[in-house]
Amino acid sequence: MTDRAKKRLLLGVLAANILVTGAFWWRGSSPLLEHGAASSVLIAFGRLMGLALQLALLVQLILISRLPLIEKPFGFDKLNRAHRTVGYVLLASIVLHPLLLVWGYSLGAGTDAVTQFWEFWDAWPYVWLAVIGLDLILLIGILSLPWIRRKLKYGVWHGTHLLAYLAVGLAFRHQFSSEDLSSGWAYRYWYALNFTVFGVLIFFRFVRPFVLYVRHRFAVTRVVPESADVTSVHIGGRAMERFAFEPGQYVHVSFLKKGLREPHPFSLSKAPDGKELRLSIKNSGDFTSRVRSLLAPGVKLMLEGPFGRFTERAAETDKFLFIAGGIGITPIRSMLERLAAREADVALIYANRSPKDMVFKDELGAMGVRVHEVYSQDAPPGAERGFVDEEKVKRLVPDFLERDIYICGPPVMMDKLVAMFRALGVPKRRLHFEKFSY
Amino acid sequence: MRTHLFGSLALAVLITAGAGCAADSNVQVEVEPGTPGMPGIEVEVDAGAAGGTQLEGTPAVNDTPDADINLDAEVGAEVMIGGTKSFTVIGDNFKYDVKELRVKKGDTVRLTFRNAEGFHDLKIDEFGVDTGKLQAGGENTVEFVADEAGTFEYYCSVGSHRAMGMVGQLIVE
Repeated sequence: MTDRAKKRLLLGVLAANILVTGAFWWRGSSPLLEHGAASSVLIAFGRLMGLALQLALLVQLILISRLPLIEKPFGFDKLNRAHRTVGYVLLASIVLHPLLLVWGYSLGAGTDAVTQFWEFWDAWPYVWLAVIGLDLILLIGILSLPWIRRKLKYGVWHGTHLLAYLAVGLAFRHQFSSEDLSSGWAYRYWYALNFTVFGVLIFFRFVRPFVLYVRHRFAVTRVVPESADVTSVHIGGRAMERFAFEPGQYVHVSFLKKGLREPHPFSLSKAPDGKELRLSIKNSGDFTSRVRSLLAPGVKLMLEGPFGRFTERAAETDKFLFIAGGIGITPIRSMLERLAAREADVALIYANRSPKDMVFKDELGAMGVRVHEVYSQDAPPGAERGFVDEEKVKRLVPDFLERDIYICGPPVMMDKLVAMFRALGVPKRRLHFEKFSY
Repeated sequence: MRTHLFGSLALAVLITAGAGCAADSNVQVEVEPGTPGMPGIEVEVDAGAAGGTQLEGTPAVNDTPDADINLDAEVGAEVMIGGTKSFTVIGDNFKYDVKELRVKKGDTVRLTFRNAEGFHDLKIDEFGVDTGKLQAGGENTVEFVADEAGTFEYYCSVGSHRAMGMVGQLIVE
C-alpha cells in the first residue's frame, strides 16, 4: 500500500469513528434536543463535548503510539506536531464539557452551579474520578505550554505527561452514564475502541522496545570524537541485519547508564550495513554533554524506532538538494551514502559556524559528493561566507526548482529556508524537513 | 437469546394449558426475562375467572376467543405473591415502559425498577419511594404500602427527565 493510500485509509478510519460516535450521540441525546428546554439542550451539547473530548484524547494517544501503520505515511515528527496542536485545542476546550453539564443540570433543577457540581461528584457514578482525570489533563496541558515547558526539565515534563494515561483511565467509566453509550452496540463499540487504542499504545510504545532489546541486545561498541563538540556512538548487537531502517531515519535512544537514561531522538548517521548503527551526537545540552564522558564500549541501550520520513521514500523526483546546518548533516550523510553509491544527482549545501565545526568532511569526500561549504565565521578561501540564502542557493544550485529539497538544521534556519523556498515556488511536497520536536 | 425467549414462551403456554385443568382457582407465575433490558414475560393465569390468560409484552400466541389478552404494554402487569402486589418498571431513553400502575388501597406494593439505558431513578414523593439513581443494567426493588387512595405520579428525578415525560401514574383505588 502506498503512503498516500495509507493516509487516506487512516483519515477514513478517523472520520468513520467520528460519524459513528455522532450517530450514537444523536440516538441517545436527540430527545433532549427535541424537548427544547435550554437545560436539555445544554445537557445534549455537554454530552457531545464529552464524546468529542474522549475521541480527541484517543487521537492524542494514537498520534504518539509509534504505530508503524501511522508513523510510516506521516512521519513521527509530523504526528508529534499534530499531537501538540490537538493538545492545545483540548486544553482550550476541555472545561466546556463539565461547564455545559453543570449549567444544564443546575438550570433544570433550579439549583446553583456549586450544588450541582457536588451532586455530580457525590451521587453520579465515577464522576469524581473523571473530575480528577480532567484536572490531570489540565495540568499536563498547562505544563506543556511553550513558555512553561521551556522552564521545566525534560524528565519533569515527560513524567507529568505520562499521567495522561492515568487520567484517561480515570475518566473512562463515567462515560457510560448517558444514553449515548450506556448499553447495546454503543457500549460495545466504545469499549472496543478504547481498548484497541490502549492496546496499540501499550504494544508499540512499551512492549516493542523491550522486544527489540531482547532480540538485538544493543550495546555501544565504539565512541569516536568527530569534532570538539560531536561524538559518534557506534552500536552493535545480535542479528543487526534484522534491524531494518531507511537512510535518513532516526531512533529514540535510552542508554542504560545513570545520567543517560532519558530517551532522546538521534539520527542514524550511516546507511544500514547489517552490522552496526551509528549515532553522531552534538554536545548541546545536559544530556548530550555527558555522552562523551559517560559512554564507553559495553554500555547497553534501549532503542525505539526507526522513525521518520526524511528519506528517499518521500521524494517526488530523482534529483536532490540537501541543505545541512551543523549537526543536521547526520540524516543527510546517511542518505548521501546510498544516493552516491547509485550515482544519483545530488547537491549539498553544508553550513557551519566555522571549519572546525564541520564533521564527516572525509566521509563525504570519499563518497565523491560535491559539497558547497558555507561558514558564518572564519570562512576559508573558496568557501561561502554568511548564511544560506536565496542568492547562494540560486547561484550554487540553479536548478533547485527541479529537485526534491531536504533541509535539516537548527529550527530557525529550517523555518527561514522553508519560507524562502515556498516563496520561490517550490511545492510543499518537494520540501522535506523534520524538526526533532519531542 | 432468541431460543431463550421462545423457550420461555413455550413454558408459559404449557403452564397456561396445564392451569386450565387445575383445580386451583388462582395460579400466578412470573417468568424471568432472558436478558437485562428485555421486557419481562409475565403471565398471569386466573383459572377461576373463565380461564383468562394474560400475556404481557409478548406477541399474541394464544388467540382463543375466550382469552383475555392484554397487549397494552403501558399498563403495569401486577403479580400477586403472598398478598404483595409486584410490578416491574423498565426505564430507558427518557421514558418508562409502563405508564400506569393500578393497586387497591391498603395493598403492599413491591416495585422493581430496572434501568436499561442511561442514568435514571424512580420516585413517588407521596409514598417516599426512591429507587436511587441507577446506571444501565442496574435494578432496585422498593416496597411500600399504598395506604392512600388517589392518583400519584412516579417520575425520574435526574436532570429534566421528568419534564421530558419520564413519568407514569400510580392509581390507588
